Amino acid sequence: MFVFVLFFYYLEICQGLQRPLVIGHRGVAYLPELTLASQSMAHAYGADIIEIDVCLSRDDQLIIIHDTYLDGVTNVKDVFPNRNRTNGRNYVIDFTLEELRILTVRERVNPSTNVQVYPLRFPSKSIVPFRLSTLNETIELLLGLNHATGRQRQLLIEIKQPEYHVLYNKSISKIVIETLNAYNLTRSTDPIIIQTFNIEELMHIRYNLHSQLRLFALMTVYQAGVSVSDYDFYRSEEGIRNLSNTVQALAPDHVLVVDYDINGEIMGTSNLTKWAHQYNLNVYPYTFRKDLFPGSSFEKLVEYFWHIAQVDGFITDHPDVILQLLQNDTTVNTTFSTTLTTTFNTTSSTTLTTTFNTTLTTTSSTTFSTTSSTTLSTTINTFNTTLNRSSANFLHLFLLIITFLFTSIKRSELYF
Amino acid sequence: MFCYMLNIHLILIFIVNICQGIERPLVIGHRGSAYLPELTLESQSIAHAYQADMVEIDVCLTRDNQLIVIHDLYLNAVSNVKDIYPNRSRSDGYHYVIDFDLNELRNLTIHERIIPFTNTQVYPARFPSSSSIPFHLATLNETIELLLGLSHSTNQQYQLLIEIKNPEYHSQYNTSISSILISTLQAYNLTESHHPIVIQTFHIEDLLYIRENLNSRLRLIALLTWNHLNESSSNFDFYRSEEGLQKLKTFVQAIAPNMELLVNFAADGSIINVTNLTVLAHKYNLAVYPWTFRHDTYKGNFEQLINFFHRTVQVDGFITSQPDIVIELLEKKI
Repeated sequence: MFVFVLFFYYLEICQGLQRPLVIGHRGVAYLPELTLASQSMAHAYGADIIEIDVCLSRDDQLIIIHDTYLDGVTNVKDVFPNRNRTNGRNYVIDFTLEELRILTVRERVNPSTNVQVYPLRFPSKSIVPFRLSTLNETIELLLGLNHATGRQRQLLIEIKQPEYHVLYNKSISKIVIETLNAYNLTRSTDPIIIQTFNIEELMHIRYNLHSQLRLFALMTVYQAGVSVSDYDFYRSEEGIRNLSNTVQALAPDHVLVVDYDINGEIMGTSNLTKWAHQYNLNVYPYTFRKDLFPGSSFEKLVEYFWHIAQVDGFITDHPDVILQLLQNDTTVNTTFSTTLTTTFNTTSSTTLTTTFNTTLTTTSSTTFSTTSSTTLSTTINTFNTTLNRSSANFLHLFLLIITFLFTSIKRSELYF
Repeated sequence: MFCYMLNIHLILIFIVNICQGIERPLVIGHRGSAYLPELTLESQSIAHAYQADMVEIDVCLTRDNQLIVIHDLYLNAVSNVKDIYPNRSRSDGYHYVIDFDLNELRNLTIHERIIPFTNTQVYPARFPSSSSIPFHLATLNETIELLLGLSHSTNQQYQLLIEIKNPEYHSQYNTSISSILISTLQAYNLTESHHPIVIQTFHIEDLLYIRENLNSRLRLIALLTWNHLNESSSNFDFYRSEEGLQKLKTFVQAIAPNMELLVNFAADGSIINVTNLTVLAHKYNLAVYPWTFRHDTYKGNFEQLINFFHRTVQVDGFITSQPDIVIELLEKKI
């Protein structure tokens, strides 16, 4: 019986270690997006993957920037007052790398109004001179940090608008692959993943450029005449089956994964995750931004996506927050399941088993703040927030040993 | 019977909660952290992400009286100055910060520390010094704005420990680096003891000057080391004595001694015994923050080292290049 209980214990621990992946969107929310400092923070917080965007400069250099224009995140208007196009914006592809290096990068503002887009983040008026970086520098940062810290993180490179770059006779994907080749980053086991919204470009990368790197298919809400690929098709069962020959995962807008009502409440999950898993594709929805969800609603959202929608990871501006949520919840799940299995074999506990069953399911799917009337749940709540996993495991082992001792004694008493 | 089991479980959880709630010693990220080129804005950001309570930085003056964040008085260990300004070295072959204006220094790129004039990385396990990433020198203003901006965006207050490098050397150039520092901080309204700025230096008399002549209310820390190293003209033998500590108490809040002043080490890195410096410092209500705990170069068992300083020497904090490792070790013990 002891062996039986121990087996369950180890099973639960192993399940607890497989938490969803956490992908730091543009690095982290706390510093200007995509800067080396922001990527460094994501690495330090423990994000499994750091997501970045690449666009091309006039001289074919890969620049780490989200927009194809510079006005959202740089001081280009002050440094180059006459280089904008007729729409008033300055485009990355109109500048050489040397020119782009002169610019300073700041927290994102609305280019028309100069108002900071996310007011709670790093002050966009700050004089700290962040700079644009190149893909080479970003790769060296990742490899250097992995080496120095001993922790292996990965890079998720989003190729921005290949169809736009084609208009300038540039194959951005080819330049990305060539850059990665120069660093010997070519295999599915290397810490590099590529993603783009242009599904046909993913086919091109896989079958024409013969890349073996992992690929993710970004998906958004399909708009006829606007969207570059037919996402309505690609998120159907047939489309997903089609994609599964080429890519390793889907990265959908979160509105494609669950159904929201008019008030923003979740009504249910779509079939996307189910079908993706059916065809062995992972699902990593975007973008989980804590500063857009007041109070505890962010925690509720993450728990829903984790336990009900069952996604494989989160693309988030706040990797530290989601990691904390995932690690706390894992601890509690392990506690509850272990307690459940230890009660299985003591004859006096049949009624208690059923009670624990209900408690287990309710607490794992809703937030912990809804404490039930028993003191047990309240204590577990505090336990949840302060105890780390290794201490929890130590406690479980101790509990198991004590349970075994006591149940052994009880069983031997029955013989007299 | 099951309820009995549950009670034990609950009691254990309760005890663990209590123990975890006790405050751990401060962890101060030395020059930011070990994982990126020292003192860069990126290295400071990463220390903050690792939850260091304080980030320690060093400041020197440029020719045009700007405060630059750099550890050495010269540029050759961490920058490409030799390539950019080949004719600006002194007769000893080194390029000195004080011989350059800020806008000239902005042209340099920074890399992980090497032994000057060689290609040998000082700490081989750290970020590759041959990397082409163009890190840059930061000014104190930028460092302060990074601190304030990050505190705002993360909603967490970390602090800056500013070491004034060699005030007496700077006096030779007719500048008071301490005065310039205090003025810069004042411009950001950083003046009080509860503000997230602490100042330290090896020249104890400069600390007295900051406190009594410049009338600063900021917290001050006295760096202590061996006299024969000539870090400053201060008599550290005196300041380590009971009388010296009593005097220090009148104008500083803490001492930051070389850790070898607190314990006696054997050749293999193991600890022989404790000196009485910590006990004396605590007697006069001075906190004690030894330096520098480097996980990648310590010869003995690093966990035992941290444990010893925590439990036996009872220091109030650790100045370390690996704040994440020290925090994990300190929080591990139940």
